[in-house]
Amino acid sequence: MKKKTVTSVAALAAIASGLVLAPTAFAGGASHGDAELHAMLSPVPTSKVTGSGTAMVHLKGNQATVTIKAQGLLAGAPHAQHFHIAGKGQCPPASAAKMHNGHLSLNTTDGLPFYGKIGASLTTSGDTGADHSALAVERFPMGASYTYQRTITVDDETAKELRAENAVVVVHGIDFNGNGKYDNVLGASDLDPKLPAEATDPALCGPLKMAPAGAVAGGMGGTQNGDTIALSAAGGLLAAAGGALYLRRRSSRQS
Amino acid sequence: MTGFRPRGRRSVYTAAATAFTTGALALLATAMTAPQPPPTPPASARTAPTAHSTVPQLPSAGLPRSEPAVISIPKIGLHTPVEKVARAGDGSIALPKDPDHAGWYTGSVTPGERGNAITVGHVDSEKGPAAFYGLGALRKGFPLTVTRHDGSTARFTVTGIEVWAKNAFPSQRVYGPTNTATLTLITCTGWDSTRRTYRSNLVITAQLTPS
Ligand SMILES: [Cu+2]
Repeated sequence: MKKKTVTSVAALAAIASGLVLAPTAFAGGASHGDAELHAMLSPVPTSKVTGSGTAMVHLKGNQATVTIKAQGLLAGAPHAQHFHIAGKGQCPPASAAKMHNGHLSLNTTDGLPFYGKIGASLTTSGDTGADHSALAVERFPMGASYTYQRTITVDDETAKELRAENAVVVVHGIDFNGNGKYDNVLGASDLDPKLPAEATDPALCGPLKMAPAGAVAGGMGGTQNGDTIALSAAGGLLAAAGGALYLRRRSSRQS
Repeated sequence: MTGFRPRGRRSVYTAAATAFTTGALALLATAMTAPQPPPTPPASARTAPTAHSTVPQLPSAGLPRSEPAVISIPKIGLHTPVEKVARAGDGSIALPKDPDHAGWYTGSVTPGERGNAITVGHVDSEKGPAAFYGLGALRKGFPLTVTRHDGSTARFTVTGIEVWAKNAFPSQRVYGPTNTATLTLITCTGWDSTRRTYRSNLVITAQLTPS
């Protein structure tokens, strides 16, 4: 029991000198203009897609480092992918689907009220603009599974919408009838009549949300009052009390 | 009192206490029941900031969304209610108000869903052990369960134990989304007796057990 007493002494001394519970500061994301956003990519309802994916965006000013992992998409086909912005920051529900060429499905336009317009085209090279590269099929990732990573410059509105958690990652290109290729089962694309709707319909979707930054402060030290701790923390105290110690020991021995 | 009694550190402590009587006496009662430091994670958990995950991400449908109610880890006697937590002002995940509760970060998926469900908890309070006190005793392969508000139970197996310095914390790696149903549990470790604070975070990852 007496061992523990010194612990208390140390704790007191530490409290007195303001050492206890000093909050540890971490570099917060938002305060420096940096933002880290994450998204889970899930199949768009009615798309018949069974794939999935993840997206991470690190935004520094207008520089966005984008990492997208996708899987379970139509193999051997290009998949257009974009930041969609200025909608509701959501993915469309099944109720947003309409009849297209006799099939209930969700084309890109059907989803606009939820994920919004295109803010940036996540191409593998060259331009990333919303206008000129939205359907640059030769510059989008190909295949059933891919990992995409690129640092791009986004415009001010897209940067603002990303920070406001009002941006959505959408990966396009579905195989509605499961025949292994883009065809006209759903008619022509609402974005470009020269392309089949399957090539541009949304496949995977995920709202980008701010991620936590830094370590957690998950301890107060209330179990750290053991001997070792006390000894080192109380080192100074013990030294200071050195003279008194000897006397005390002597007297207790004689009592 | 007479006769020989072993003398050593014990007497020194007594003397030190005597030299600083008032406060020490006030705290003596507490000190007599003072708890032990938390269990230590395995040495292999000490990581370099450059280490990178090589765990393959296999597709996993996971469970439907349902918020967590209780986390149980029978092997370490952990059974704790879960409350919701958000981000603090500095961008980090806030800790639960009740130190005996775990916190589920509401910006992450629910435990059992495909994705990275993030939970945090205190290792200790100012008074003693808290909800995640025993996490350091976890080892790979240990089972844990999360009971959820829809009545279902998500069963996980511990697959990763890592210790990261707070000042070199790999946020993207720890908080990043996963394609599998993953549960991440975070608490403090690495007591710094000089600064009287925890220097590191203990990060436990677990994968949904196929049922
Ligand atoms: Cu798009």
